[in-house]
Amino acid sequence: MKPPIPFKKLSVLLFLIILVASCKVLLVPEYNAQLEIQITNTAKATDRLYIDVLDVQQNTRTYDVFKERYNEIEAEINSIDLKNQGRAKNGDFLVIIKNLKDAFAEAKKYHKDHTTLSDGEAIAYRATLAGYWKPLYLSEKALKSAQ
Amino acid sequence: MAFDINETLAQMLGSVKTVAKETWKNVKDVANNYLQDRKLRLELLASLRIQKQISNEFFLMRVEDEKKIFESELHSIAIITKAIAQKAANAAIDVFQNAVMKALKL
Repeated sequence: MKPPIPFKKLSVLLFLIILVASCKVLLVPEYNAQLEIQITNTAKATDRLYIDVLDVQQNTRTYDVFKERYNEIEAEINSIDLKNQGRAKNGDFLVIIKNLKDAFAEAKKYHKDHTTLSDGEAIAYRATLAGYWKPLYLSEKALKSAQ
Repeated sequence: MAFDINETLAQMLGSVKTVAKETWKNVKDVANNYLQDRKLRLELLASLRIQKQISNEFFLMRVEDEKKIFESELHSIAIITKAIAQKAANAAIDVFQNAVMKALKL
């Protein structure tokens, strides 16, 4: 019969096991399903804004007609930004969101300053803003697989 | 049961390889996806400019956007790569932890 493990050794071993068990590598923020839904919905709202802009005559596409929609989307982007500021390991996400925020603010200002948008401008903004949304969406989705 | 460090390390390495292999394809797919999107956007911008549907100033602003989108895409690829590394490292730690528990018959 094997001699029993001394109490002191057993304590050290248990301490090491607990230490390893509690030691999880964390390189990215934790996945947040609600945030993924919010990103998807706000990206969709951005796309829908330009689809609707393109659906009306150029002389009726005034900024005033669409300003509520711009403000709603801007508030959602700010909310996504705020939620990300509270996450650990958020450096890469904050850069992606800042780029998106700046681009949307510029698109909003352009429409406001020029009162209306041409078809070409609306088509270009729709494609460009989709390009800003995609890295944010795919990054949040990637966190799900890291869990 | 005896604790075999060599066997445990081999299993840890195996788990890292499995996770990395499974998920590396995702990184390649995402990078190709970004490249394809960029190609389509640049084609669209060029055609809008050639057809004079957008001004030169507006066109140049959108080209500047492409630089920022590229920056976002690089950060996104960094996140995806780190997520893979995190999953692989935690899988290896789990293997080690299980091996110790098994040796202790816990």
